[in-house]
Amino acid sequence: MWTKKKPCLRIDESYLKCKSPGCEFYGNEEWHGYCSQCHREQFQRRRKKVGFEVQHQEPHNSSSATSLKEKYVKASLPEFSKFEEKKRQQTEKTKKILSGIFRKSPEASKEKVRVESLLRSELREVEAVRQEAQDLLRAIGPAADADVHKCIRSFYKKLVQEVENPMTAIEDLSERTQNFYQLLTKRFDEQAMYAEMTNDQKEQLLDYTEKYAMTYMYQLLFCPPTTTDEEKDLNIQKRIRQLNWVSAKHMDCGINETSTETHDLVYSAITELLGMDSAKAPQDKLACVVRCCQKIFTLMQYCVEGPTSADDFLPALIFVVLKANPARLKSNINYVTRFCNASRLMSGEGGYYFTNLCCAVSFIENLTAESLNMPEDEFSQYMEGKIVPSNTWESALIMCEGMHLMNENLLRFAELSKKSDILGDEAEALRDEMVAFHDEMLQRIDDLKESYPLIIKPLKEPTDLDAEDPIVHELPPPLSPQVVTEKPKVAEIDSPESPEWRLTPLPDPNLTAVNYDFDLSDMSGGDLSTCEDLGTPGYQSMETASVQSLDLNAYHPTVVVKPVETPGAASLLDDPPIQEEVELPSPLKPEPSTSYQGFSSQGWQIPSIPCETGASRLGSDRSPGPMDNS
Amino acid sequence: MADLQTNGGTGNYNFKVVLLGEGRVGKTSMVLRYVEDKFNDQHIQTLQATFLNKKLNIGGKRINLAIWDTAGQERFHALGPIYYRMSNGAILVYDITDEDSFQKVKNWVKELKKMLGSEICLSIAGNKVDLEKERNVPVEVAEEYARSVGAVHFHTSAKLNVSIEELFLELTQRMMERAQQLEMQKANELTRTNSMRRNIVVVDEDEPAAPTRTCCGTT
Repeated sequence: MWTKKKPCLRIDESYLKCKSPGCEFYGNEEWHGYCSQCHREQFQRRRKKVGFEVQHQEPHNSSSATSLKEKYVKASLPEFSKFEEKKRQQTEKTKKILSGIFRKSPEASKEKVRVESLLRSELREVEAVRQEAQDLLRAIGPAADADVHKCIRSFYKKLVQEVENPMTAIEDLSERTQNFYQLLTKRFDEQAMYAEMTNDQKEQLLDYTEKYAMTYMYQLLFCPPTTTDEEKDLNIQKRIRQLNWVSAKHMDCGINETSTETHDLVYSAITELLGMDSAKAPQDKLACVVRCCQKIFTLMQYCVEGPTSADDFLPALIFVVLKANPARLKSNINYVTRFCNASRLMSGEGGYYFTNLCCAVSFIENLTAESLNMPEDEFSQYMEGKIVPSNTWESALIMCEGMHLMNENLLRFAELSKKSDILGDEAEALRDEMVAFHDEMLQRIDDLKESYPLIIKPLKEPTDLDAEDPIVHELPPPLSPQVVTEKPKVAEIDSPESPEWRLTPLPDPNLTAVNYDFDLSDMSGGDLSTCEDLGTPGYQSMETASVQSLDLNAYHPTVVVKPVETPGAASLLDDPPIQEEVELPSPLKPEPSTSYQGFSSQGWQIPSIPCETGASRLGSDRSPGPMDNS
Repeated sequence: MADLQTNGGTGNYNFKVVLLGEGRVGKTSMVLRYVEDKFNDQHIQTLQATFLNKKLNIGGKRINLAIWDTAGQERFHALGPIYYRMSNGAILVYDITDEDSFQKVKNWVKELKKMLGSEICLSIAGNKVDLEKERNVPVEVAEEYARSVGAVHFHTSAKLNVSIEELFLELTQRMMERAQQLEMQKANELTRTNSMRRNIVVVDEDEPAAPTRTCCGTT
């Protein structure tokens, strides 16, 4: 109610009082400096004077008539009545002059656009609010959901209408909002579609509607131009700035300004408090206050023994508010007071903390020397900035910072000196050790020198392996290889003689060479000379190769088998010459081995036949020429 | 459903009780004794005792007491109205060993009467009766005073848990009676809550300037 009388911001003090002499009420800019009573009197008087003309003019809105009228009004009346006339006439000129105050004419549409643009600016956040509440809305069912939103819509339509009318005081809007909350609570209890909801859901829904509606209309309702909120904000801000020298000691709140933990907590409390300005819904702002206060409680645990009482809490809160100097503090407080669901939120814990915040603000506004327990002159000197106390928060911070650094450095130095001591000791020990080691080594070397005197022996000559060596004679093996080299000749010579050997060895010398050639050619894809010579495709050569390889295989097992029976055969190369005699019968032995068909039947049969015929067959079948050549 | 209403006609009551009294008379100890039944306990060292809820059940009605602690220092005296606005009951605590604290109580009572009239239920507690030997406030004087202002006097000791429970219980019963009377008077719930809300808006120090209202009303 009170604020209604001084709705304009940034007006001089002298303008506040009613212009008519002797009137104690405050004047109003809208009434050109008169209070409402004087304004009305003036208005009535004026009306009597120009009444008929005005009535005549009203329905026509002709601009020429208006200007005439205006001239007349200007000449004959004080500003105020002119304004009143214009208002009633609603001519264009009036609209221009008083734009933003009267909105019934085309001007109203412009205003509407403004309001709508303000509302639109919040749309995204409103959507976010709705998204957040998605679960709740789903839980209550579509009917209730639709109904709630219908309620909200009709509510804000009504409210927006009122906002557009500049004569509506913010208190009326607040009243209407509170009524809306009440009606909604009632509706939730009475309407059938809400009957199935739990109490929790109802609470949540109330929260949601509040948040939704208030976020949507935030721009219109927060610090509206029709109030002096902004002015008050600036005043309190200035006041707090003036009081920046107040320290925790002045507040007697037991906050130790130099300890790190309290610092951090004070800062986090300040952060929470500053966050209040950025929240949109009143309940969110309230939540910020609650969080700030909880931080302060944590803080108090460090500073005060025993459970925190209001005696400790309030000074701490005041201190935090002083140090935070939150933006638009008054606007925020007024906004929450006006548009928070009073019956619910204000009665709980949030309400308590909020009340404390109000107390803190009120205390700061009315702070005197007495409330800080200091002499008046000292206080005024502080306020005028003549003296700066040594222990303001800032300087405490700086001091603290210095002390922190000092402490940290001292600690570091102590650590370093300890380390260097240890290092010195260790270096000493190491040196001792090294000296001892050195001595010991010298001692040992001397000992060794003594026990093993240096005797220079003649140089050893490298042994000539080929040279005759007495030691070599002692070793028997070197002798045998010499003998073995002789033996194969014997065996080769012998083998042809023996009839058994003739079968195989005879083709062997020829074939073995061929065999290897074939094998290689096969492996390499048949592009070797042998293959070309044969003129056979890879397939054929494969066949021959297999045959040959079989032959080879067959040949070797026999050799292997033979030695089993007669070691002499195996040791053709290695055996000493003494076994020469034994070698001779070995070719004979293959006979029984051939008769023993288990291993060598195929070996004997296949190689012996294909070796000769195979080669010739190959040659005769495919390319006899080359075969002959080979 | 009806009993779920916060200001409900038939069921729940939400009462706000403020604790007033000079610093260090034992407000916090009293409320902690009442709500937590603890005194100087290890466990309450970390508690905050500024705002506490206590649920009661009297005569089949559920009652929620919101107990608000206030800062008792002299310099915060002016903030009192902000605290006890909207409250249903007030407990004025003084220290029986401290005559000054009793004088403070008298001041509080005067102010409360001025601001809230007879809407508020008052209880006066002479705390620390365990220190009876050091009593500085005569029993008769205190009780006589309480009678004269329509308050109920209790001799309490948070330390020994004397009369604490009774104090709160008696106050709650009176608040209930008062609330029921109010209900009789104001059938309309809305007007009641509105009037309650009105009270809280007063952050503005200009507000008490009553005559201005007539001025506004004319438009």
